[in-house]
Amino acid sequence: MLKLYELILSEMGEFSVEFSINGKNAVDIYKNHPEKPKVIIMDHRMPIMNGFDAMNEILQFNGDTKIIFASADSTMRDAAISMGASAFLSKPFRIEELTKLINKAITE
Amino acid sequence: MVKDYDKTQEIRELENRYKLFYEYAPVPYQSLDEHTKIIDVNQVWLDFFGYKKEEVIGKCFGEFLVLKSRELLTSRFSHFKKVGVIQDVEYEIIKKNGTHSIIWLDGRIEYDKNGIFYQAHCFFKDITERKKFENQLWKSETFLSNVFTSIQDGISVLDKNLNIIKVNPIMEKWYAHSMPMLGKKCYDVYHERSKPCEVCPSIQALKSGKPAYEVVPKRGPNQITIGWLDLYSFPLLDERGENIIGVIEYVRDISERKNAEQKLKESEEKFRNIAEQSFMSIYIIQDGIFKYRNQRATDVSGYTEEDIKDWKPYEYAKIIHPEDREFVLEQSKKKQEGALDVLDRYRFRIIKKSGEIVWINNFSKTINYKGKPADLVITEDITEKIEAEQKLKESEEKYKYLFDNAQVGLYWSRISDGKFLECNDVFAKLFGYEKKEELLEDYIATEHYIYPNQRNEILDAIRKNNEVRGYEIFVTKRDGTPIWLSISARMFEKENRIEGAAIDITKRKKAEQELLESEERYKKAYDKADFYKDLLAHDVSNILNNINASVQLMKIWKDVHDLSAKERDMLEIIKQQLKRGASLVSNVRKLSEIEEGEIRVKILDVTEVLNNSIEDIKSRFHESDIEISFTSPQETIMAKGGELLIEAFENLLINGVTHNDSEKIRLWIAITEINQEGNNYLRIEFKDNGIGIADDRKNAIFERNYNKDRSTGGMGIGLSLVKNIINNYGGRVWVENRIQEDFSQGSNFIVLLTTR
Repeated sequence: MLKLYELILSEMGEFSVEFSINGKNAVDIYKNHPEKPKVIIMDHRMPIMNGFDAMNEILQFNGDTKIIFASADSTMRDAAISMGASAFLSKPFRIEELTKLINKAITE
Repeated sequence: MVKDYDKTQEIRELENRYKLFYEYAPVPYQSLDEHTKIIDVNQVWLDFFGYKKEEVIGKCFGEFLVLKSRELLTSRFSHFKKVGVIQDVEYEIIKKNGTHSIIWLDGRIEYDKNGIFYQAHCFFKDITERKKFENQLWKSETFLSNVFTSIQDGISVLDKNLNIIKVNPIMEKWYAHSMPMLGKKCYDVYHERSKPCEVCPSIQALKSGKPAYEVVPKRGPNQITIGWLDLYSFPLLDERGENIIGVIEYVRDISERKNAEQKLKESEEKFRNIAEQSFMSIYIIQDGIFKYRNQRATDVSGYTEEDIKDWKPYEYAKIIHPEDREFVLEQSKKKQEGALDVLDRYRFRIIKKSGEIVWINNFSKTINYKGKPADLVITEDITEKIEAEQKLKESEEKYKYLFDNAQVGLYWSRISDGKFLECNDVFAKLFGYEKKEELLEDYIATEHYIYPNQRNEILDAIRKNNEVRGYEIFVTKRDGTPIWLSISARMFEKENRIEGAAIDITKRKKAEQELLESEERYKKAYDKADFYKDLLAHDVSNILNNINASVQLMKIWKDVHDLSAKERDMLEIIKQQLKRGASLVSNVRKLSEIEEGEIRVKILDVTEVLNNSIEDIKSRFHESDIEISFTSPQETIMAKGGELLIEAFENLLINGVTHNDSEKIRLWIAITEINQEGNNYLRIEFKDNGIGIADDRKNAIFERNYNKDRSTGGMGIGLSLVKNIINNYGGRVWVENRIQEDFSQGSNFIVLLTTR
């Protein structure tokens, strides 16, 4: 799956991409990385720490972080947005939709 | 000589005179020699003693005396001779006829010219009668003195000036604080006053000469009244009985009587006070007449004093109920006569003045009223009690019936040892007994608890709240078979008793156990289903998403026109199956939400939902040739729905697209407002030019199990979801033919939504 995202993003241009295998790892990478990412694509369901908890910690660390929250459960949309997500990506998604949301997050 | 003659003559005449005087002197005379021998006596002496002179001359005077006097004579005569005179010397003589008399003897000694005893001249007088009188007088005075002394009432003799002349010992005892009393004024002694009392019977008696009477206070020291006296004053007359010389006060202490009278008065007042305030009717009946009735008696009977004042003896019988009259009257008469063979307590009815019948509880007995037997009657109005008793009796009969015929087991048991005191047959049968008598005889509850502590636990539970309801116990029947009972019971600790009802819940407990096990199984199944749902909704969804993204990437990398026809067909199949897969996952999740009761109802704009659905379908099937028409009477139409309404609409539209082999797929959506049975609905029709649905399948396609056979080409769970969603919003959905007689011309799915 990570590979797939890498391929999709590589189609969009020159991005430096970091992947994490669970929510806790994502939070650690974010906190420890000297250069903060312009956008984070946060999956809903992850082992160890779910997407909501990870997003919450990251936003507490830096409230301006752009996070696209992705879930197959569209009823999570409102919860994700109210928690601070920049956008909600409903799975299954079209690549154009993903790239549109990434571009929007980067340019804002 | 003449002179001598004359002198001799004179002496002779003098002697005769003395002789006559001597002989006929009014008193007896005797002359005695120096040895008390009689020298001479006169005729009076002889007449007195009854002797002749010759019988006494020369005899010693002592021979005519009683022995005791004779003994005295000797010594007294010697003394007489010495002193020459004696007077009133008493002797007792014996007459010839043997009778005795008392004499007082006077005497003088005659001496010769030489002063020598010559003879003794004695006179005596008979004092026998006087002595008798004196003796009698002495006896009388002694008697009176004794009476005066011993009488237990006070006697006080006053002179005209109210000075106390004489008092008896009782007066001295009563007025010891004023001793000495004699010579003092009565008012000073008896009342410590300085002047006479205003009301004084003695003054009245002195003035009127008639006896007077008053009740006067009995004073102690310092004028303290210590009791009451009856004072009778009698005038005291002089010897001639002409003049009042004083009064005799006869005084009787009536303190006890007065106290008794006072107590009686107080007692009567108490009786009246109690009687008048009593809630019970109180009567005193004597000689057939009400001598007393309290206010309550008047109130209960309705007869006033005015009503009964002219009643004849026993006329009161008319207020006694005819059926009770003979008995009650007989009892009352007997009590008024003081008879002993009577009943103290009984009930009867009276008829009030108003005609109303009142039940009376009667307590009556004979009393002494003003010296005669009377019937004291105390009655209590027990009409309400009788009615209550009657109701209670009826109630008890009802409860007895219920107790005996109840379909639950009812019982009374003893707290101390668990023995059953009473129960119905149903209760007995619970424990395997045919008759309750067998159980009452045989079954001891404490011996049949499967969990021995359970009896103490249920007793504690009852004590805590005075009762338990539905307390479950596990016991054994007569034959040892275990049985679960539901007990509802109350405790009467003082009476050592429990009342309870018991139901056999063994089957229920078994069912509960089975249900518990079933729930366990269900929960496992549910957890498994939840796992699969989660698997489907998220993991499969992610997989589909990844395939979809991969397909999209492939299309980016290689122009679709570079693909062969087979490759394009395959790619299209992959895309279609991805859509179906995504739709299936979505529907499963929605259906799950509905089944879990998570669906929320609100009023929303149905046209907006439909427009969004149409846009989504067009986007989803953008490569298909689809024409959708939508007509609505208004731009905005509100109805009951929710977030899942779009899912229902999209499923219906997807159904019209996917089950359609027309080259040009056509969908018609129309909203109309209708009224059915007084309710307003939105009727939304989804028509298509698809393959249509045969009549025998029209109902089945909405059933979830329908597609198990998969023979229909598969509509997934879409229509089942649609039905669930619409029903949850209070609406209905069904399918008809688009062209009425030809199902193959397409379907018309009709949705009814309530507008409020």
